[in-house]
Amino acid sequence: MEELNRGGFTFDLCSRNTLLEKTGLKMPGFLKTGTTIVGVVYKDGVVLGADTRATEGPIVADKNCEKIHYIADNIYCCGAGTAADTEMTTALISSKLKLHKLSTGKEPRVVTALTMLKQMLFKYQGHVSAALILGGIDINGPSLHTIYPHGSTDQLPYVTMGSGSLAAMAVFEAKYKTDMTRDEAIQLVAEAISSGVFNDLGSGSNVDVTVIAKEGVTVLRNYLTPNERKFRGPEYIFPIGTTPVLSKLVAPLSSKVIIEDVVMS
Amino acid sequence: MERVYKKDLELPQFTNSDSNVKSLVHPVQSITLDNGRTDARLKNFAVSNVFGKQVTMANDIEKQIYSQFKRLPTLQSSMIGLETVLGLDEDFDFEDFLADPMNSETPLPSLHSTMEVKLGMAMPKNMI
Repeated sequence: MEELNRGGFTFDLCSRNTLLEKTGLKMPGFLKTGTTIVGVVYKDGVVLGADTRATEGPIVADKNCEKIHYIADNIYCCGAGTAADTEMTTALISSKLKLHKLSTGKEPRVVTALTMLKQMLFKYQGHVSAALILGGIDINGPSLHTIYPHGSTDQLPYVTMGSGSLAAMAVFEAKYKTDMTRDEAIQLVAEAISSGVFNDLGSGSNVDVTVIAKEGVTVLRNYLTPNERKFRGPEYIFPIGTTPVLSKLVAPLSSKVIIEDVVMS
Repeated sequence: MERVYKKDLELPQFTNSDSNVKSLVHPVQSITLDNGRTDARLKNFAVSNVFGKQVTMANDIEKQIYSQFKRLPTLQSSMIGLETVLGLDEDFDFEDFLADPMNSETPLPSLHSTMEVKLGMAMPKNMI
């Protein structure tokens, strides 16, 4: 609708970049992302887990970032991929869902959020690089979905995403069982994330866990902190004179500096 | 029966004419330029198959009517009727908060010159 004159993405800098590239400037290219995010369905709810390392290529940008995002009071979403994209995508869907809730007057369902997310991601053809795990509880009970950046989705009782997904999935494949209790599920999620933290270089630092149950949501921020910075210990105290002074030379300042008088006219 | 159905099936084109234009600097630009036209085409296809062609036509006429109410050029039109018909009042998208045209850096042309062009009292600049 051309009449509406709305905003949106601007591409001014893209044309500038192509122009600069033509002059022979080397563009820095994309930075590698890395994450471990997981989710598990247990007897009466969903447990989501994430590591807290944010990377920009080989550099750790943030050692304690948040990767479990709020969507609605009964729905949360883990994000892997470009941090800005996952944050904006989840925030956008959260707003959309709130408006939907206000217009329908009903509690939002997980599939509604899922459909909104996949339609948006498919529209942008993978250029919004957000790989998500959507977990929540509604009238149909707990449910868990993965959403790939191009808009395809999966529904499974246990899912993993990000560069540490293989390490985490190995733990799930070995130890998942149906109808786990809440504590068992939290334990399993923490173990899966720890596996990603220790075996995947793109993931690290702490373990965040969020439990979504009928009674409400429990956010266990920094549930495990296996990579605390070591305490440096007491300071070394050396008595004066530990290092012997062999010789001493004090150059007078006047030998280095010439003082001139400037006559003010 | 099948042939009649196929005749009605005007499948929407998923590629738009803009996507092959060389001047585009980013692939997402063609998605933005599409402006929901593919979406609208899909919706029209579904609506006309379920309720009949007349409903699509009535909707189109309604949209055309609502898109006619505008302020003078360079002034922001609220377009509340059109937004309501399109369901944009109950939706939220990147277009609602990224690069708001009201806060644009590029200066707007003056109202007088735009109006003169519109009324045929002056030639548009690119034609001189």
